[in-house]
Amino acid sequence: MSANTVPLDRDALQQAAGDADWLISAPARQAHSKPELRIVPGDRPRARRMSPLMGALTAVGVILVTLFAQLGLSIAVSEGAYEARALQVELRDLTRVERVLSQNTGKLASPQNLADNAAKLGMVQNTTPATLRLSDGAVLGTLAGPTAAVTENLVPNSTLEGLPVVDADGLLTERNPEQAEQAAAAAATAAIPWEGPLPAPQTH
Amino acid sequence: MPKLRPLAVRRLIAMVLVLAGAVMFTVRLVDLQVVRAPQYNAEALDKRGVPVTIPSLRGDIVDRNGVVLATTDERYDVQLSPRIARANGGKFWRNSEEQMSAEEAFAEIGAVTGQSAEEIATIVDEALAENPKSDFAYVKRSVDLTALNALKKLNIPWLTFDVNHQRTYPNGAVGGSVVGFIGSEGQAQAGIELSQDDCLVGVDGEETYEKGADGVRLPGSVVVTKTAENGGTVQLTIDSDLQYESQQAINQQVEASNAEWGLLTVIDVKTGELLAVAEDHSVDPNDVDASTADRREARSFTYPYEPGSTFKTLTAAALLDQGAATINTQNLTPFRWDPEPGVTFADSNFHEAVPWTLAGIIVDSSNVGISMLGSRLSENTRYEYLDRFGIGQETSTGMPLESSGTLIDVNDWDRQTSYNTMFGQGLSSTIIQTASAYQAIANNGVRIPPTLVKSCTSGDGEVTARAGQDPVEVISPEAAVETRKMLEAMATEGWIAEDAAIPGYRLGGKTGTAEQSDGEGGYRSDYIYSFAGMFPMDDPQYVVVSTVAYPKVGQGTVSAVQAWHSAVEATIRTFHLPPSNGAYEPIQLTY
Repeated sequence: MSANTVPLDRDALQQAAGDADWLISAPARQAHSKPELRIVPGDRPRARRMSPLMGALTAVGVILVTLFAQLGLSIAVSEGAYEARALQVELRDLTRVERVLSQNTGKLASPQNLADNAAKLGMVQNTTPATLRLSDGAVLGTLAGPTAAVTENLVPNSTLEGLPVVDADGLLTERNPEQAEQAAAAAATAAIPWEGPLPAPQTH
Repeated sequence: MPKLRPLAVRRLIAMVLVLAGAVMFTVRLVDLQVVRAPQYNAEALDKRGVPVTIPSLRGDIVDRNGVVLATTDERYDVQLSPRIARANGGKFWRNSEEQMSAEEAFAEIGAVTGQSAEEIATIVDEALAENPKSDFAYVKRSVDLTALNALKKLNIPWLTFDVNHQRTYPNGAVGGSVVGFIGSEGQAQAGIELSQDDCLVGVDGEETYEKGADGVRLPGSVVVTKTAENGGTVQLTIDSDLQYESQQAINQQVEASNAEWGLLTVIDVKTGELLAVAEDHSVDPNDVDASTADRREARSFTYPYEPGSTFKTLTAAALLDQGAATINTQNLTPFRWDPEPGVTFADSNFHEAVPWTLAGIIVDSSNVGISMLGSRLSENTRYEYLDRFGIGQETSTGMPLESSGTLIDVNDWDRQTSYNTMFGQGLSSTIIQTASAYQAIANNGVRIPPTLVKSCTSGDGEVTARAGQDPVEVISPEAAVETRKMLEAMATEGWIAEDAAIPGYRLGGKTGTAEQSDGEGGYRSDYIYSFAGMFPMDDPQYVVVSTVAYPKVGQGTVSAVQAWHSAVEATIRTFHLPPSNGAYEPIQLTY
C-alpha cells in the first residue's frame, strides 16, 4: 500500500509497459528493475502533477459532457421513433389507397365493363382476326373477315352497379337504362328524398 | 488472538454492516427480478398492456394471366364510446380549441355515414340504457376508405375505427361458380375458395400496446409479438377473357332455346389445363343470394349425364386401336337390330339398310352400326378402354367436389347395357370427363388428367405447383390420327357442318343426343344435346365440349353446335391462332 505514495518514475513505467512481466508478477519486476534505481529529482513529478481541484473539475466536466451527449442521442432517437411511426402510418394509408385503386382498376377492366362500353361506343367484333407472321410478313386469314355486333352482356357483375359507361359522343350514360328508369321512378314516388352520399353496395 | 485497535474494530463493524446490507439487497433483487419476475410481469401487463389481433389478409385467386378473380377488400367499422360521448353533458373539445356538443358531432358523423343525427343519438342512448358504462357501439359497419378519411378529419375523440375484411370479386360472375364464395363470417363455402382454403388463409399476428389510466393508447408502446402472415395466392388455369366469352355463348344458347341448363368447357390439349369452365347463369359471388342453389354450384364437375353419341367416338377409337376395324371397314347397317333375345335398339331416324363404312357410321351417328362393329370387341376390352378414357373415375382438377359419373362394373352389365354403353347410354360422365376423353384423342392417345388449379404462391413468395395425376396412354398415336379423320369428316361433311364451320380453320367433332334417366327407372322424353370437338385438326390444340340440356325451342343439337362455334371463335381470338395448314381430305363414308 505504501508503495503508491512513492512518485512513479515515468521512464521506468514506459519501459515496463512494453514488458509484460510487470503485469504478471510484481516481485519479478522489482528484481528486474533493481539495478536501474536512481535518485529522482524532487520537483519534476510535482510540476507535472494536476491539482486535485482541476482533477475533480475535469471529472465532473467529462460526466456532464457524457450526460448531455446521451440526452442529445435520446432526443434524436425518440424523434426518429416519432418519424418512423408517422412514416408507418403514411405507408399504411398509401397501401390502403393503392388497394382501392387497384380494385377499381380490376372492376373497370372486367370483361363485362369492357363489353358494355364497347357496345355503347358502337364497336363491332372481328370474329376471326387475321394474323401477321413476323418471319416472312405473310398475312394469315382474311383482312376483311366477318364481324359481329357486340352481344348484350349476360354475365352479371354487381361490382359495376352505379358505374356509368361512355357512349359514342364521349358522354357518360347509364349502364342499364331500364334499371335506371325504375330507380328514378321509385325515387320520384318516394316521400323522403335521399340526402348525403349514396351508401356503398354491401358485398360479401 | 492479537488485540485489535479501536479504529480497526470500528472499520470491521462498518464493513460487516455494509456487507450485510449488500447481501440483503442482492437477495431481494434476485427474488424480485428472477424468482417472481414472470408473475409481476404478467400482473403489470394485465394492468396496462392490451393485446390486439392483427388480422391477416386472405389471399387472392387469379387466372392463368394473373387477372384477379377474388381479392380481399378492406372496409372499416365506425365505433364510438357511448359513455364518453355523453360524459360532461356531451360537451367536448375538438383540437383543444373548439368546444362542441355531442349532437353537433352526431350530425357531422351522420353526414358522412348517411345516417341522421337522431339515428346516431338513438344508438348511443340505447347502448347506455343497456349498460350505463358502455364503452362500445357500432355507428356503422363496413364504410369505404373515402368515408373513413372524412370521419377521421372530424377529429372526434370518442370516435374509433376498426378494419374489417370483405371478399370482393372484381370480375363478377366470370368463373363465379368455379371461384366460389365465402360466408359473412369469412368461412369458405364453395368452389376454389373452399378447396384451396389452406393456401388462401393467412396466420393472424398479435401486438400489444400499453394504455394509460384513461384508456388512451400510449404512443410508442406498441410491441408486435407476432407478425401477421398474409394468405397465399391461388392461380387457376382459367383464362378470364375466354371464360367470359364462353359464358356469354352458353347463356345465349340456353336463353334462346329455353333450355334447363347448359355447359361449355375448353381444355388445353397439350397440358390438360382447363381454360374455360362455363355454366349458364353461374353465380355472381358478390351477390350469392341472387342465384338459385343449383347455379351456385360448379355443375361442370357435379352434374354427370348420359353423354350419348359423343361416346361412339370412344368405341370407334377402341376398335381402331385393337385393329378390329379401320375407318373404311364396311357394314351394311339396318335401321333396327335385335342382336340377342330381349335386346333391341334402333337408329333415331328410319332408314333402309345403308352400306356405311365405320367413318360413315360416325358421321351419320348410327347406334346400330357402331354396336354391330363394336361388338367385335369383348365387354371386358370395351370396359377397359372406357376406364382408361377416365370414365367412372373422379377427376382431380382441384375443386372441392368432383363427380365420378357412373360406369357400372363390367360384371354387372345386363345385356342391354352391354350394347348401350357403345353409344354412350347406360353410363354417365361430367362434361369435364367427356372433354378429358377427347383430349386423349387430340393428344395422340395420351390422356393428361385435367387440372384447374395451377399453383399456390405463399405470402412470402414461395410457389408450390399443384401435383397433377400421371398421364395415361389410352390408344396408339395411329389410332388417334384415324379417329380424328372421322371427327373432321363429321364437322366438315356432317349435317351440322354449316353451323360449325369457321373459314380457314379445320375443325373436328361429334354430336350427341342423349336420353336421360327420369329417376324412376325410365327415361325422360326430352334430351341433352352436346357437341364434343377439337381444333385445329392439322395439330389439335384445344378441345371444346358444349352441352344444352332439355331445350324447349328449336333444335338442341344446333344450339349446342352454335355455342361450340362461338367458343372456338373466342379461343382463336384469345390465343391468336393463325388459320390451319393443309386441307381436309375427304374419306370414304359409304361403299
